[in-house]
Amino acid sequence: MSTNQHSNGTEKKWWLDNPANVRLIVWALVISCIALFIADFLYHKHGHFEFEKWPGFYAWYGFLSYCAIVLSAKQLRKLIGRKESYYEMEDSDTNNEIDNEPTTEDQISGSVNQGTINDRS
Amino acid sequence: MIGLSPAIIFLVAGVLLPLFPATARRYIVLLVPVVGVALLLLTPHGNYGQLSIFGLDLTTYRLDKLAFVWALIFHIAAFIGGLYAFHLKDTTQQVAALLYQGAAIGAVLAGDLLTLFVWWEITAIASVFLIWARRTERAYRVGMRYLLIQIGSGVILLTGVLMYLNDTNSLAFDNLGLHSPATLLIFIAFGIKCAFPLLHNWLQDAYPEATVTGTVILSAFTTKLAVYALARGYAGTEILIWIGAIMTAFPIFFAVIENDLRRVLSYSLNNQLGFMVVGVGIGTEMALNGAAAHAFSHILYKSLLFMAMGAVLYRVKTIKASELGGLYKSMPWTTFFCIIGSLSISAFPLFSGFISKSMILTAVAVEHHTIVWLILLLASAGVMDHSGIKIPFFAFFAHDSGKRCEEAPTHMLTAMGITAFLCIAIGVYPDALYAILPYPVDYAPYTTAHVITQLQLLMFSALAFVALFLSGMYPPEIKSLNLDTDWLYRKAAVSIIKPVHSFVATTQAQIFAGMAAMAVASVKKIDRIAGPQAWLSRTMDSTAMVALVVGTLFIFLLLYLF
Repeated sequence: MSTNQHSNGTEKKWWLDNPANVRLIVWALVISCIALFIADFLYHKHGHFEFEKWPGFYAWYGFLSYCAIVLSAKQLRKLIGRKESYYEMEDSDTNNEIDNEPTTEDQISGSVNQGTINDRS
Repeated sequence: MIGLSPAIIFLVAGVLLPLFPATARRYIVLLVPVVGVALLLLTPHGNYGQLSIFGLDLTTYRLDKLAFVWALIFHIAAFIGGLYAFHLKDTTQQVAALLYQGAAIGAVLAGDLLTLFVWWEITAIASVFLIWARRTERAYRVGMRYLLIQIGSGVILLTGVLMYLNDTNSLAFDNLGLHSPATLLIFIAFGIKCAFPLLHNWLQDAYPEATVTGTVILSAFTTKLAVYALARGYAGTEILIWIGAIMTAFPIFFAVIENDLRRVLSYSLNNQLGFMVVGVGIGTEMALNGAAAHAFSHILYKSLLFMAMGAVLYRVKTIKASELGGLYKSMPWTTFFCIIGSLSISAFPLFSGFISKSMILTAVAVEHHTIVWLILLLASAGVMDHSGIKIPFFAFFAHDSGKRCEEAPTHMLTAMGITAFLCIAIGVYPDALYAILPYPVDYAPYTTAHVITQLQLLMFSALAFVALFLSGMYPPEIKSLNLDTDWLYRKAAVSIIKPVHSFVATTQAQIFAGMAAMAVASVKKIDRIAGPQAWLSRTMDSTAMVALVVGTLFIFLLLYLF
């Protein structure tokens, strides 16, 4: 559990802060992918479609689908991406509902605070 | 008590809730689903609440196996939502949530189309207050758009129901099929609430704009009610297979580039509905079981993800991926529960999504819908991206935004913990869920082939992410919004209507100006004749008046005499 609330130099180091550990995770992923690909040859296949029996069908279908989705979405962004203020200026983040809700126990129920637009981060 | 619909308990509790103090209200909100589910479990399957109004036979409460699955998960979702919103003192939201949840339960338990319509409309009206409760101008406008579309769905439904009544002299809500204009209208009404492609955008527009807790509650009911209605009325309707397949595919592209993480989840929700719609369209026993099971597990993991993102919004006050990152240091438990939600929606073995989605995919394969099957598989890789990786990665990991906050409040963590537990429990022991499905289940999710192929699909998708991310090809999270069909009514329609509106306004102004000028002229004319200085208003002195009267009387006398 973290007890530190401040983002200054005294913060404790987390396991993932070490780049070596991130590399470890990546390698673990690569190795498990290789293992899964090999596992494809170790059991009897009885799919509903012929192509399911191709070696590593799910593996390369997953990999290619993923790349296709992400890369085409990237192109889509050029087409449909707009500034945040395209429809209206007010930002969904800066609303009073969240400031209104928490912690203070003496809050009057159902109090209506008219839209104060506050701190934009 | 047996034969009393649980919906009535929600409704009565919702109406009476404002009479209680804030400390009691939060417990009542938790108690109502518990009482409701007890009542539901004690009631034997059958038809209750039969009425006859104007010669129309209504069955206001029908409990059978199909309705039971939805009624049960709606109760669970209501309880979880109530727990997640335990800190709320806002009576508006509490009342709206109870009425909305009750109406959704009432609708799935409706045995006839008229009863369905009544509950259908109450869900629309009650739910909008969960958006308006944010109490901003923006939320007000979003709520109006949402309400227009939801009420529109209800109006179309009513029209269809009345035409259906005219055609068949029946209001029974059983398999309707796409056979007449009447059933087509009902189909469209269901389709709007189910967020069919091109009718979908109310969902992504409205849900992310609701309150922290409101979105969690909204995500569970409306759309799954629509899936239920389709399963009841249109099981085996072939076009649903294609509608569903498109629904699984197109939202994932939007989800990849969306910056608001609750909006990403809304697109993801749309994509998950697609799987259920395909199941309904296939219409075999296995497919319908799959749709019901998927609705059940989907409500849980989708609530879990919305709760995790809600907790982030609650603490950090933003939910934009571009502003977040590194939050696992501040919110380790939220991170943990979010990852369980991600693993469940991505359908990793031992998590709930695996045992329900695979049923639908198998049902599609059994019927040899090759293209649809390939689309669903592609969509599964897409789910892995936007809900499996993007949501937890950009919120809790990625580059450290430097934002530090408190962990989510205990009641939120408890709600997430219970939901996470259920996601795993269903994944580990699917027989419990399979036992309540509408048809007998002859399906084993955990075969060697199944586990390995699914893991291959998911792990290689993850590998693709790592490759794209490390090579810098993964689209960065940037402050932006993306156009969707809401552009048609938020921009295009406005730019068409604006000139028309200004033309009407100027013409109207001209007509009014002309009429005003005429009015002024007539007043002046009258003024000239009857005004204070005018001839008719002139005052005469009293001598002349008396002379006039006497003279007149004299003339009368003369006329009388002769």
